Formats: sequence, structure tokens, C-alpha cells
Amino acid sequence: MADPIVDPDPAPVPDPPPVRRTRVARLVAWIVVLVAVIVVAVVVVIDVGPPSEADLRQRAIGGRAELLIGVKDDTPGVSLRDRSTGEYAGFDIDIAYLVAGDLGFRPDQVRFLSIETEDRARMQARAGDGRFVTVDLVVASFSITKERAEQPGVRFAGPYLSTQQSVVTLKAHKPVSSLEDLRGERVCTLATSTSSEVARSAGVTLSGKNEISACVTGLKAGEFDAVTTDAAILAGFVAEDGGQTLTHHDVGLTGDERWGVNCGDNEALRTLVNLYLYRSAHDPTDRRWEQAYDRYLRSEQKFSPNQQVAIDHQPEVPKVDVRQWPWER
Amino acid sequence: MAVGEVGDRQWLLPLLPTFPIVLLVLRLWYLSRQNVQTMLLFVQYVSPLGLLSTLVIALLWVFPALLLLTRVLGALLELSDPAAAATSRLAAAARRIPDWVVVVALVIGALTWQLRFLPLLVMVALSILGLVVRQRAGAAAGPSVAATGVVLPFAAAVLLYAFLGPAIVTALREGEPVTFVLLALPPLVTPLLTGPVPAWAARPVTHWPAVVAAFAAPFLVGVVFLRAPILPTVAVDTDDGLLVGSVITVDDRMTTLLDAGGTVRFVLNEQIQAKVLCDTSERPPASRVDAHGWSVEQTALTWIAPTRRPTPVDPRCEGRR
Repeated sequence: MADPIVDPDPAPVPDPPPVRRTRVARLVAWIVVLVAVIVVAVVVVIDVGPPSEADLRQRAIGGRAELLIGVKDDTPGVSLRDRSTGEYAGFDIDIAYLVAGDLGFRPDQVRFLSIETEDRARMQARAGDGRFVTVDLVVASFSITKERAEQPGVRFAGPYLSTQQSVVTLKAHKPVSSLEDLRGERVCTLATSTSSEVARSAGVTLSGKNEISACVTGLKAGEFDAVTTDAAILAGFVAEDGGQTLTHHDVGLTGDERWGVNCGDNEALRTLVNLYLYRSAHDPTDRRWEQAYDRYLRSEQKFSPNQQVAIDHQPEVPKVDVRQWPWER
Repeated sequence: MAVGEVGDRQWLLPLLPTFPIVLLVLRLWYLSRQNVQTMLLFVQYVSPLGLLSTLVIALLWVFPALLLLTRVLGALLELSDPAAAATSRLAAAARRIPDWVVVVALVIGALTWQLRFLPLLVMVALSILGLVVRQRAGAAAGPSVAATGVVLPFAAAVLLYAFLGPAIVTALREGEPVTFVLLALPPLVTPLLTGPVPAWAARPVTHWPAVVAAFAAPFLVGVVFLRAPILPTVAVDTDDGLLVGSVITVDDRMTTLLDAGGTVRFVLNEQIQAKVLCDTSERPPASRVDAHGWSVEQTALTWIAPTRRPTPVDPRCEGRR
């Protein structure tokens, strides 16, 4: 720094040029520092930054004693309700318990309610007394699509499973290698499902039902020639049948059906579900997803030799930005 | 400032303690959700000493900030434009701050400021040192001015960059511009902050920040204090269900709580089966940056002192048994 002499009164005697330049440089440095301090102070006071998990939980489920989850009740392997005990079991149920457990709900604090296909976007499930109830989460083999995600009141977390559309027929049916092979035949699917659009474009005579079990019952009764929907759903029926009367066909569709959790309007809850699915996918010690897959879906594979039931690892979930303690990272 | 003028303003001195009192009352009013009856209940039960200690702990870091800012701006004005400094209140205030108070403020700052602000503290400390040494040396500038004005800032910059280098890189990688600026900028500019600026710029560059700080400080202090918790949050498991709220008082018959909705609840002690303390104030840091395991949002005091890792939230604190 070329300013060794301090002038007690600089006004009357002009500074020599190097001293003046140094002083101007110092002025610039002071202005930079002061502006930076003001900007930083504003940012720190406003407290920008991601929310913490506790903040999100407070916003998403603050004060809730029970978590209501809408699930299917007629799909073996995915989500089936035992008519005698009222208990639900299946892959979706285990995923629902995984999310609920991470949200801090014990299994007895989780209430499952049966939800129909067309009510999944509206989050309306039927309670035991027949009333419609708005649920907190829908875990009901609900495929993520752009159109659905754009609907008001639909926020997908996940995906938690990746499967494909396939076809089931009776054993006596000729082999099916594409949906076009079923042209002119009576095919049943879920009314408001992603499968119906693909099937319709293939030129089949389509019947839409609200429950996939009604399609399979109709298929066995000869009412339909085939049933088409997601392989993970159909594999359950084929496995339940023990491969005796039903056959599962790979129809060569390339599009993935990725199942998501509908969190309705609750953005904080969606963030949390994504966080827990992300952790489950990236924590090698967390085997809950793998155990659910092995128990319900891998065990069905032997009855569907031609069609993969679902991809056997957890699909990639977007990383969620939350505040974390250093030792949690 | 003439002596008579100062004497006339003596009556202002008794008003000085009103600011913390106003803050304390405001805090209670805020906590009571603007309900006068609830506030009166607080006034009856909440200990003023407890409130005051919360205020002191929450605002301990503000004291060095204001004091050092005054000192450094005053010294800068004094050195750059002595004529203007003679009539400046800022310079007069800065002159009155004894050196040992500056040292105490630096020590308090070093302990209570988060790591991300410590480079700023070092910058201010070196700047005060450089300016004051230069000012006291007067025309007889010698090796002491060169040492404090040039050698020391460069040495400090080298040491700081050596310690904070990995953290600065992490801040860049994690996309945290504020952390990056706070860690990287102060050591870089410190060598330029130890000498005078052009005389014509001295007054605006020192007075404007002082005015902004004088206006902003009460708001800043208010915001910080209103955010600081003053009552412990507990979940009370009673015969009639769970109650989560702040404990106002416990006597031999009743526990008085303020629930999340701002309603005062009185619960008979014999109805209470369990109480859980809820950790509501502990929040993970927003920044992912740390220097050798020291998170940039941690103060030296919390880093040194023994701490307990936050336990998972008790479900009762979220309203579930």
C-alpha cells in the first residue's frame, strides 16, 4: 500500500496521484463491503433456505392423530382387503406403511379406506359407514401421467414402482403379442385408466369397469376375451389363479407405467413423501421396499413367465432439498 | 458538540432502558396473540428475569455488531477527513469507545457469531486496528503502520483462506452465494480497509451506513427477539386427550398452558399422565457448508460447548399418542 504518510488536513494540499488512486481503491472496497453486508443482512433476516423436516411435518400433518390413506381393495398382490377380517395386504399397503411410518404414524394410527379408480384424483374414499371421506394420501396403483399431474388437486410423489401395460386372457386364447392381435375382441379395462387409451387406439371393443376384479370375473365368465392393465396388477390375479385358467401376455408396449402417491393439495406432504421414498431408495440398510417387492411381486413372477411383473428396484425419485443436520447427510 | 448541548440531552438517558422494556412487553403481547387478558396472565406469571435473560442471550451478538460498526466508521472518518470528524456525532461516539470495550466486543463476537460471520469480524477488527494505529501515529508513520495496515491483513487472509478454503469451495459447489461472499470476500478486501478514503467521500461513506444501521437495528432486534422462544413447549397427556402448548405456570393444583391456537388451558395436575418436552427451537442449518466439521451456521460457543443431538420428535409433540 503506497500511503505511508497521513495528511492531517488533505483539503488544501492535493494528494499526489498514487495516493489518490489508493484512496479511491479503498473507497470502492468500502462500498463493496457495505453493500455486501446490507444484502447479506437482508437475506439472513428473511431466512431463506429450504424448510426442515419438522417444518414440513407441521405443515403437512400437524396435530393429526390418524393418517387416512386411500387404497384399492380388490387387487391381489397390490392391495387386497380380506372380506372377513377387513385387513388390507399387498405391495401398495407396504409402501403406504413405509411412508406413514416415516411420517411418524404407527401402523395402528393408519386407516386404509377403499378408493375407486375414478376417485383417486379427487382423493375421495368410502369410509366403513358408506360416507365419502377425503383421504390424506392415495396409494392405489395410480400411474403418473402428465394429464393427471396437471389436474387441480393432484400432486404426485414418487414414483414408487415401475411396471408396464400387459394383457391377460384365458389359457385357451391364442397367444397375444400386441394389442392389435385383440382387434375386434371384447377387452375389459379400468374406465379411467391409462390402459384404456392405448387399448382403444388398437381398435379393440373396449369395456370399462370401475374395479379390475370385475374385469377378471367377467373374463372367467366368458363375458370378455381379454383384460388389459398394468402387469403388476394382472400378475396378482394370475398368481391367485395359480396359472390354472389365466395366461399373462407381453404385448410389447414400451411405455412405462410409473405408480405415484397422490398427495392432493398438500405440497408439504408431497415433499415429505418424496423425501422418504428418496431415502428408502438410497439407504442400503433400508430394505422395506425390497422386502415388499419380494413378498408380493417377485413371488408372482413364476406364474407370469412371459411378462415381467415390475422392475425389481425402486425407481429414481427427485432429490428433495430439506435442512439436515450434518450427521444426517 | 458543545458541553452545554450534551448537558441538555441528559434527560434522554433515563429513556435508554425503555427500549428493552418495550421489547419485552411487545414480546408478551405477540405471544398472547394480541389478547389483553392472556397478556395480563403472562405479566402475572412470566418471570421478568427469565424474559430479560432470553433477551440478552438472543441479542448478545448484536452488541458487538453495533459497537464495532460505530468504531470502525468513526475511525475511518477521523482519518480521512479530520475537519468533518470534528463536527460528526459518529466520530464523537467512536472516540468515546475505549479500546478495552472494543476488545471485549471482539471476544463476545468471536464467541457468539456464527462461523460464516467470523471472517467479517476479523475484517472489522483488523480494519479498526489499522485505522487507529495510523491515526495515532499521525505524521510519524513508521513500521507499526505498515505492520498493521499491510502485513497483518495479508497474513490474516492467508490463514483464513487456509482454514476456510475447503468451505469456500463447498459453498460454490452447493450454490450458496451468501455463504461464499461471507467467507471469501472479507479476507480479500481487508488490506484495503486499513487506510483513509478520499476526503470528499468520507462523510457519505461513513454516515449513510451508520444511519441505515441505526434505523435497521431496532427492526432486526425486534425480529430476532420475537422469534426467540420464551416459554418451554410441552405435550401434556391428559385423561381428555393430548394437549400441546407452552407452559405458563404450574402450581400445586393446576398446569396453565397456552395451546397452539393461542387459547389458555387450565389442566388439573391429577389429570396429567405424562409430560414431554418438545424440541421446537432446534432447526438444522440451512447451509450444507462446514469448515473442518464446524458448520458455518454454528457459533464458536455452541461448537465448543457439549451438546446433545436432537432426538426424533416425540409423536405426542405432533398430537399423536
